[in-house]
Amino acid sequence: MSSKNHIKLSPRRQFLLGSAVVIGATWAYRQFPRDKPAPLSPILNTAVQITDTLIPADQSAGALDIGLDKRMLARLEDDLAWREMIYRLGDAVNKQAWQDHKQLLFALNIDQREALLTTLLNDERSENTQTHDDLLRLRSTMMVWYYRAPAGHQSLQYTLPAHYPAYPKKFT
Amino acid sequence: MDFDVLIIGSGAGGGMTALALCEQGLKVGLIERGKRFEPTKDYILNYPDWANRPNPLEQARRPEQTLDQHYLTPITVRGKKQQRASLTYHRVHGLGGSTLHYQGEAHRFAEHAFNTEFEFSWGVDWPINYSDLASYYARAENLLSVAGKTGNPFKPSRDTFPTPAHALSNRSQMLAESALKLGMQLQANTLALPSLSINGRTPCQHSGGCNFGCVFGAKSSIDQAIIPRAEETGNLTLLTQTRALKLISHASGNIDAVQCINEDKRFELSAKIVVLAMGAIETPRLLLHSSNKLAPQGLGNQHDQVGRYFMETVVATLPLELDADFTTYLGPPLDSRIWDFCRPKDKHTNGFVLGAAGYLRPSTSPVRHAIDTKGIGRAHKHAVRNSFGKQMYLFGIAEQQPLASNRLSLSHRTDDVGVPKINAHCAYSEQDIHTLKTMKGTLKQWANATPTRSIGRPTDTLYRSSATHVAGTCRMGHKPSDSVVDAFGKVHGHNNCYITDASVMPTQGAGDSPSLTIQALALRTADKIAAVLKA
Repeated sequence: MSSKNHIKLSPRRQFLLGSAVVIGATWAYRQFPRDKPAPLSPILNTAVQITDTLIPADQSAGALDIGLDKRMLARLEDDLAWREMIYRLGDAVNKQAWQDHKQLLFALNIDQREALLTTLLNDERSENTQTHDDLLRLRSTMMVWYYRAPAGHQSLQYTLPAHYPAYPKKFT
Repeated sequence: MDFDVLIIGSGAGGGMTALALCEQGLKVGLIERGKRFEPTKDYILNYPDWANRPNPLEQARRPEQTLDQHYLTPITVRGKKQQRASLTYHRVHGLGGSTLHYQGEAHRFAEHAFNTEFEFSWGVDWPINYSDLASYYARAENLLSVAGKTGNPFKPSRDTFPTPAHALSNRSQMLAESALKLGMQLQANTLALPSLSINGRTPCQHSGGCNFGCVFGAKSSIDQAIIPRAEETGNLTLLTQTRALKLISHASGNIDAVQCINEDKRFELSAKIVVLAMGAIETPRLLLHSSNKLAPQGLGNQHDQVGRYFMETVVATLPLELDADFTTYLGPPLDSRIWDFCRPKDKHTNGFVLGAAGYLRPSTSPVRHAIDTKGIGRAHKHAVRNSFGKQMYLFGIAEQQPLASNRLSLSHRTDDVGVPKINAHCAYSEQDIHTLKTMKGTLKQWANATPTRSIGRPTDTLYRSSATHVAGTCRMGHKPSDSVVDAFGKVHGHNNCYITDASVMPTQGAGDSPSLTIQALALRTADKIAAVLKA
């Protein structure tokens, strides 16, 4: 019986089927979260810490709670200017942390991290102009991402302007 | 002839004129320089990231093609010569004109506003009274389904409004209490924002976003409330993205044709009657630019009156941060008003009104608010949360005295199609300045009586204008020697040319918004035109 149902594929069809299996498996693999994500480099780890420091969790969700760190890292892959900015900023912030505390940013407590970033943000005239500009840009981006999201609105108890027709669909 | 009537400009006056004439069976052409906006697609409030999108109405407001920005008005304040910044003038190019971004204020002028010369010895009396306009006010209110409440002691008595007044917003309820402490009465504003569904239209949703264009089509802007009715008659021909460049007139004084441009194509249109409704700057500009051998100073300008008596918007504002979240961004943006001062208290002060604005705008969106709040981290998040929904401003709007020396004239500079730009010369009189001072003092008292966290610095329009309402440049009167149009809006010396916009208003109505008066005047003029054409 089984030999009756056996279908012999042409080489071309075998190739197409094989390709489909490989593509499908790759796609499926990418859909599942890996148990152990690859560790981030120190600089990227610092960038994540900056994100957390800019918008921390308090009585409402913080930037990391809604995945803004992942969004920040994902953008590295296809935005060269963003990539350069993040690496430049991470490096500069770590240098400053080392200069001030003899530790990298991730090892500092929240008070120290906030103080360090605040100083850099306020420092417009020294040799840190580039760092100031980069930090300002990251801050603005995070504010846009966070306060445009439902979590940001909940943080403010902001009611969406009365029932805009297309909001529910477009907002998710 | 292409049309019975050709109307140039589709704003408050032009749109209403078109409807009234179409309903009387006349063939009407309506020229609009801008496009027809689609509320559910074009307006930025359809999109959650609206605060970061360019506002198409804002783009269409820019005056770069109208005003010569190099022209500055010299003024003398307390004996010192100073200069005002060049005029800033808000309008929209689009079907519906400035009603696309207005807040829907629909005010009948008080009776005394038509007679400032008789009552207060300044300005000039209108050639008509309130009673001449009352029935047209009522007609316009019905067409716009205006919401309001009777019993305003500062306004003429009247019948009920087509829809009930909106409930006061959170901010206005609180401000009514603080106003009452000073003996002032904060009342529900009268608004062309229907509070009930009429003729199948969506009622106002209290989104606070009127000035971005109403995404619900609820606001009674001309494109939503008036043009569809005119189209239903089958008598309206819309010519959008078309601009009138010049009026062609020959010996009889009649307008024979209107030279137009659509994209790069130039052509002429003709009609038995031409109606100008482009507003108090573009209408005189067209008349002045349409000069010919018989009228070297421009049409309707035999007595050098076109462009004179220019009046802008005299405004004082005071920003506040309230001490609690009153969701200042929700509700009709101008849902309340104090009319206590619309009748001048003394002979040194113009009539004015006070209000509170809680506009939804990019600067008050969550994103912009967060970016603009200084700092980072926990303190920043706390500060953002703590100040959101508390920011607003109090304002006062006064009428400006009409002065012959405040005038519009043609510049030697031209726009992209060769039409001369406008030089706007507009200085405040001593009385205007005194009125500004009085308004600012009253606003400060009101703010001090209000539970606030902080009160900002008051600002005004003395040095830097921000004119939402302009008027007076083709004013109506009995004699050609001191006016441009007669009591029905017909241009002196040109039997087939009428004006139905704010340029015909001799005074500004004591701080009230002009749109409903423009519309009532337009309906009255339309009746006159129909009678002339049917005679």
